[in-house]
Amino acid sequence: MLRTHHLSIELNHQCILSDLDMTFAPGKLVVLLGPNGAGKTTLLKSLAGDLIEALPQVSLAGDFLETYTPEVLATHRAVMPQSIQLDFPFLVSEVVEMGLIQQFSVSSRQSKVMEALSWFDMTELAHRNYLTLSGGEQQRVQLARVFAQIGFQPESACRYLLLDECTAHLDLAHQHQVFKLLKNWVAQRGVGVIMVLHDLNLAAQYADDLVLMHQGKLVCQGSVQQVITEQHIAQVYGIEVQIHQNSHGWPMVAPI
Amino acid sequence: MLTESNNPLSTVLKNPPWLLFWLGVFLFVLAFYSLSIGAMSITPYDLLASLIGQADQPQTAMIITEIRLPRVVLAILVGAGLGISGAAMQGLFRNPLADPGLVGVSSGAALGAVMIIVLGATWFHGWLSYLGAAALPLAAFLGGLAVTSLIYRLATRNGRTDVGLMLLAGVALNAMSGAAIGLLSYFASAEQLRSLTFWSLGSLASADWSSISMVSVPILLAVIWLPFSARGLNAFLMGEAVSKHMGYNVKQLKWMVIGLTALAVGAAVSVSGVIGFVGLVAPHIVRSLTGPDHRWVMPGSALVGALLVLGADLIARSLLAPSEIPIGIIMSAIGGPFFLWLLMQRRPRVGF
Repeated sequence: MLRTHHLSIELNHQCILSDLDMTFAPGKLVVLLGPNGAGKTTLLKSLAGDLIEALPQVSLAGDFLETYTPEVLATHRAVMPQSIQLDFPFLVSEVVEMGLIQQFSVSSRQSKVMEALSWFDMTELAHRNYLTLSGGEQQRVQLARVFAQIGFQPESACRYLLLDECTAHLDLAHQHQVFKLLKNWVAQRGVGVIMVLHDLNLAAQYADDLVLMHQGKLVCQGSVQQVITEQHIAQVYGIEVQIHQNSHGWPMVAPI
Repeated sequence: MLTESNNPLSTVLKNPPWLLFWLGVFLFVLAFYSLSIGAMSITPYDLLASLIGQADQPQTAMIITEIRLPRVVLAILVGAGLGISGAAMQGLFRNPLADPGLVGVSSGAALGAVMIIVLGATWFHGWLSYLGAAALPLAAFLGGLAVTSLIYRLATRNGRTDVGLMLLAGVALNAMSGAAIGLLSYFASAEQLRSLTFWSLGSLASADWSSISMVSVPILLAVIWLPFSARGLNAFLMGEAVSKHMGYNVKQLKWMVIGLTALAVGAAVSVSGVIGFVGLVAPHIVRSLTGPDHRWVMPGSALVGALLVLGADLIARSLLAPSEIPIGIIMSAIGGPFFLWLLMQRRPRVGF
């Protein structure tokens, strides 16, 4: 269980997050929604343990983050930031291998790297130079690394994936591939996923829970049907939308 | 990748452990060859006999063990220290153009040395008479550490060290020590100016067992310990936050890399003067062969750095024998074009 306890963050005397009291259960895919500057990324960084101020305000499995060492924290959560700059010509397999943080034998490391790449249908890229890949391919390689970090931890451990716009550079097919994989991990492996997303329709299709934020405050948290309403969207984004019911049962947001 | 495996050379080059092994063998051979070259020609037999203490002539044994061997050992130590520090710095700053000088250790050491050379007779008279010949290396070593720790302090706030800020603070402090060195050279006498120039061009001529015993501890510390930070530095190339997410203690990593680099480079500069280029080029040569993984780049850079300094010193003392050319000149004159050639050859794999 990942919890924030009246989480408030100030940067340069400006309130970024105020009094957030939230619980993120494992085995759920939660999407953080909100306009630019709503505090989604700051919330995600707080949950990841990146912000010193947030460490005593966030708890994982009952213990505050300040009591975790980096090594132990890394076995419980993996993080995919908005962008990763890597300017050295590593091979794709080498990048993914960095995600294997436990001790494995050389041969089992190789097979685990290939397994991680296979989750994203990328085994044929294993020996390519990372720098020669397209932006979307690089993002999928990084996803494979992030997934590998907690994917080989024991099933019993509480594990979270914290993803910040992790599908921004992906084409339609690969976006859905990633979300199907996430759904599968949530359902089969009990991993908790918390992600920032700007695409309301993707969120509506895949999320178990939605968190709508505005100016550092929680507007509402709940199921897709509860959160995606014309009033909420108008209130937070300041734009008129129509919400259609898709034939598969999830709402579709269309600006008027 | 598999298509080239028929070529035995490329097989060796693509297999990092073998590459390191052959670099080590090459270093050993070059060291042995280096021992046999000098004003007096010594046969391989006499050389071996002297090394194991069975020489027929005590004079030959003396030349080997007291003159040539210390010089070869010092060249290897200095080169290894500069090479591995360069690799560590390039990793820490995520920039393939970084070199150990960026953290101010070289300019700090130069400032310390220049102060002793120019002001030694007046301001630091007591210090000089107390320490004698050790005064200059010690001042260089302390100067390097002082400037590096100042830069580190400037870039650290709330227990977090900003690597980018450190780079910029390094530029500022390097300029300031440059100004101080310039001012001191302006007031230096002709004789002081000469020894100052000589020091700034680098030389291993002062090698003896006592200088080796002084520098071996800090340099060996770095050469043995820095490779333990290899995986952390690999992760660091993707950014500080990412390596933290993967469970690395970045604070400890930065402190360790900067501290060990300052120790090794400070020690190297203190005995040999400024030998540029090694820290920049050695990691590039290794990276173009093994790829950027620090687990190979760091030990490889130590070996290649040692090879470069040993080779350059061999040329420096044999090209115009019996007079010697400062090693820094050789290093830049040969290293520069070689580095360019390497960049052109390996453009796709170096790629930055």
